[in-house]
Amino acid sequence: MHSAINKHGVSHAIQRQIDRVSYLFLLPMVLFFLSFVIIPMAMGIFTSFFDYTMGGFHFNGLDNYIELFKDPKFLRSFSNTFIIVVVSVPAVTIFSLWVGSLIYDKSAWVTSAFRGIFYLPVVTGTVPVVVVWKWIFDKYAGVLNYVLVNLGVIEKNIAWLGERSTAIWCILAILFTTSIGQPIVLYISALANIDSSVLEAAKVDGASGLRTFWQIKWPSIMPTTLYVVVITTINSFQCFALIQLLTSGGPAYSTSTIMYYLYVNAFSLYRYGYANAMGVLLALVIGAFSILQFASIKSGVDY
Amino acid sequence: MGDHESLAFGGFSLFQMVEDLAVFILGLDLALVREALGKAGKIGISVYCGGQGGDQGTRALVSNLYGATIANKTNTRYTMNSPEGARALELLKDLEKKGYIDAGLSIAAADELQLFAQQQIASTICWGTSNALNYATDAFTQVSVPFPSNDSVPSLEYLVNGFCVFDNKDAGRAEAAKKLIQFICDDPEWGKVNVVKTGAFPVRSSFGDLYPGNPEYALLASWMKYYGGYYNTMPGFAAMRTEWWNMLQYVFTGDKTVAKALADYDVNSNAVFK
Repeated sequence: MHSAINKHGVSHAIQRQIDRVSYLFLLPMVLFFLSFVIIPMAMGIFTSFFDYTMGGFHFNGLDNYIELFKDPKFLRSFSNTFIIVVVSVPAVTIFSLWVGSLIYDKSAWVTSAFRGIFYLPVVTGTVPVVVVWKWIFDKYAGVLNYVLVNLGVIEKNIAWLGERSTAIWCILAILFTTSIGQPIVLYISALANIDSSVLEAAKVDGASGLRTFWQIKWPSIMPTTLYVVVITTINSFQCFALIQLLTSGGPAYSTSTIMYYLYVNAFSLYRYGYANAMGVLLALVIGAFSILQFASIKSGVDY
Repeated sequence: MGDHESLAFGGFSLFQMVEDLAVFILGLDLALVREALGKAGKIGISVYCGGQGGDQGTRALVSNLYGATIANKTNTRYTMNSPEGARALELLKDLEKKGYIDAGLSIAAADELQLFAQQQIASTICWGTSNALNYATDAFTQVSVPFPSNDSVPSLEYLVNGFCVFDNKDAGRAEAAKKLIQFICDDPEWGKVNVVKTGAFPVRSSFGDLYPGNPEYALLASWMKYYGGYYNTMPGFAAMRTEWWNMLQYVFTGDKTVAKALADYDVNSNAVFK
């Protein structure tokens, strides 16, 4: 009798057994993923076509999506989010790369110290960090006003988080400090992992520091750059906690973001369908941005 | 008494040197007040509007000044968009522009209460008995006064707390829940204890004076006659609240005129009644 054997020298019957066991090991995670990611996502998309509130659930087709484009508060939130992304992503990427370049080849102690300092806001957690920033920016007893008034830079205390002209920049400054930790750590690793023989060869050939950076280091760390850009873009699009804890979207919606406005609609106004439509649109925008970034940033290492 | 005396209400507080609160708010002798507060290095009042928390305080302030109403008597429309409401907002905006009051664009009631407790700010418009307990300190003595109003008849905000039973399709459980609630509320001994523990006042007069010998509570209890309409259970209450503090922001930032801000508030708050 001929027993079927696969290319690994295992009979098909045993292979089937192995597959079954493998799938069983995967099952808990698949169930978890289905229950808490896929099904809620599908429900979110489904209910975005309904007038879904505490008191009702009625199909309304594309009305929620049409309303989005007529809602000045949403449009303001959208443009604020866009500003945050456009400012934050290049700033975080360039600063992280700069810091990483400066410290990656220093002694282990120095590198670790800087890595720790820049990573501190990330491990501290958003809420304590934001509370400290709130004290710093406080109009009445904030240290920023105290310093600037005493230095004669400003005449009287400013409500940094209460002025249209300053609030969004305060949010961006805090977002910046909480966003750079991980990219810096990643850039330090990526730069340290570049093949030293290639760098030495370039040095021997007389390549300048700038040329070495652009022609060897930059292409080598491209996969890291892609990751940093995509993750920072997604995090910036989803900026919520800072807004919720610091400005509630104000003053006059000047710091409201899509995520914050979504939250207001879902949990203050109980307009679940409308909020879900915002969520779907945000996911589409983030997806489009990510595809664009993947397509435009060549991530393959090429010297 | 501590280093200064404060007035607080659903609260308002100013220093001893300011004898007449209405004088301050209605702007009859602002220079004097500003000078006095300035010398003390204090802010008189903050119309906080950095968030939703404690928004009832700012609504009470605005509505009382010239007799505007927050909702109509049948609770079928939010009515702040009125000449009285506009006049009050114009006054507050003008006072803020002149530097006599502060627009708390970056703070909500919790921050304002902390500023009050820290004596950074001389008055609070969101005081309650629970705040009095939380911020109890020897540093100042609170004095409660009604909100200022041009007709001297304040309309006070209040909150009625109660229980509800969820219909979970189990009559037995619902019955048990009702029995527990009845005990908590009606028991001749524990009913009173429960009210006292909340620091609030009973909704029934049969419980009598639960705070004998406490002049502050006696004063607050005497103000029940000033209670205004109860709009917290009106349709669209959540939307109206969101619109309210944002409307104040529009007014104080100058993004909208008072008339435009009120008109938009009116449309958005009353959308539910269409």
